[in-house]
Amino acid sequence: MQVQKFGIEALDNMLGGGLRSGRPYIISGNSGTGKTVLALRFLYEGLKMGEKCLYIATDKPPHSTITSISDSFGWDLLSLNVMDAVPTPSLYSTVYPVRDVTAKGEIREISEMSKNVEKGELTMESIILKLELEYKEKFYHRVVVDSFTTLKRFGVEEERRNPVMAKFFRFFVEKGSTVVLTVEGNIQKIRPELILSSGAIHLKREVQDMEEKRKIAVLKMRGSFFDPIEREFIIDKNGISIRKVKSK
Amino acid sequence: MSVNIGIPGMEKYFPGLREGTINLIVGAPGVGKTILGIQYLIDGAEKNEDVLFISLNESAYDIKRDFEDFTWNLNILNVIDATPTSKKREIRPYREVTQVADVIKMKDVKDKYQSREIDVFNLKSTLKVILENRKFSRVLLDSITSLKYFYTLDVDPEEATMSFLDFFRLLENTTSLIIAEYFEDIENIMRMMDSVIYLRREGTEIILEILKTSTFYSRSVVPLTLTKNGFVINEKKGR
Repeated sequence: MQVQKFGIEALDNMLGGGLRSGRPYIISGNSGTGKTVLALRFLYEGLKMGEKCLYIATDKPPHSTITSISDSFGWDLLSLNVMDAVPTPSLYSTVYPVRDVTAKGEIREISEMSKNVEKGELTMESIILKLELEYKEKFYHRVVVDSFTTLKRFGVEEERRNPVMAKFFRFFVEKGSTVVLTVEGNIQKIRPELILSSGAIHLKREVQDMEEKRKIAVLKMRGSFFDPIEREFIIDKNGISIRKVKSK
Repeated sequence: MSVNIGIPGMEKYFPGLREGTINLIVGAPGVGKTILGIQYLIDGAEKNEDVLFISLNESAYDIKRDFEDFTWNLNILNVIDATPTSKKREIRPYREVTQVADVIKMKDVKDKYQSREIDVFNLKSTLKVILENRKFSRVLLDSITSLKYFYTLDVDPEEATMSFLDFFRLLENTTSLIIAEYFEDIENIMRMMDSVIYLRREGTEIILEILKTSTFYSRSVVPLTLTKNGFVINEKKGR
């Protein structure tokens, strides 16, 4: 079985070797738990292995995210391809019904990325169409959608939400790409995503006695004898490091 | 007659599923419901029964890959791959009545994903055609939560799910095992079930609890360990 690693040994071990290629995965957790850093670590590892990687941004323009992550951790993300799928202000103000327009979200090399890219109103289905064209030209080994929650909120009408989400997850399976989607909210709110994914990593951030504690656990991992034990982790200039479990 | 669920030595705690009934496995994602379901089918297939796996969660191809590390021979199972497609939904003025999926032997599953649009209606009519012509002793549906969430566009998900399950109840000689992810979604279907098995995680251990059975009331709690041969009872902690 072919796996794709994060390059964080302890995490890859928890997953039973890494993510199984060609499947959809989610990284869940509240805002500020480290989902974007972990997702980009996955892409960075792919680039190091010479794989084609795509970052689809829906929360913040990809340029600013990539720049700040590269600067903080010294990761070279220049050969990353990005798609700016941040909803336009008009989309925010007229949430429903979402108009089904042709995707204008551009995919380009991060090195030629300017800060202002013209974009259309992006829906989950228009992104599939856009990606369909993109895949005619090249294959992506690893894709990150950050965050899927924003796309879910603004990219599809509520009554069609679940079936369209199923299509979105399915798209990457049909293409054979390993996709990691970041998902926000508590477990109750992300049930459909948990079911659609082949695996899930959950991140938590707690403050105890003025001390910040970050925790990571694998909730689900199809086809793998994974390790479900929660562990503490830290994010510093070296990136993400997972602490050993204290033996009882 | 009771039908073994396939865990060795389980009869001590639970006599098995009653022949011809529908039954439920419920538990959170990642707990091992599909594994237990496949174990149930393998148990039948190894006794030369005709068994059927209806997969909504993962394609037959991916299921096959998922179970590569197990000692089981998945090739002897029959499967209906009813996973959704990413292709754009066609506009249909009427409900499709043609068969949208086929039974295939797992050994014939190749690297291909089906691309037909499947919803609760055409899946039900497809299963009807298939199951009226061929008798399976054991059927596994994975999962009813998926059906409710992802296959019920333009219909009331609750009603559609109920009527879908009703069909399984009418199959006289088939013992069906239905997988569900969350209790909140199955309140209305719990009543239809002959027995309900609840799987949950406690640390590294999987706990199987019989929540309901028609044969006698018990609240058996059995600790399990997952091995390459499937679930086995953790005898050291057996109660």
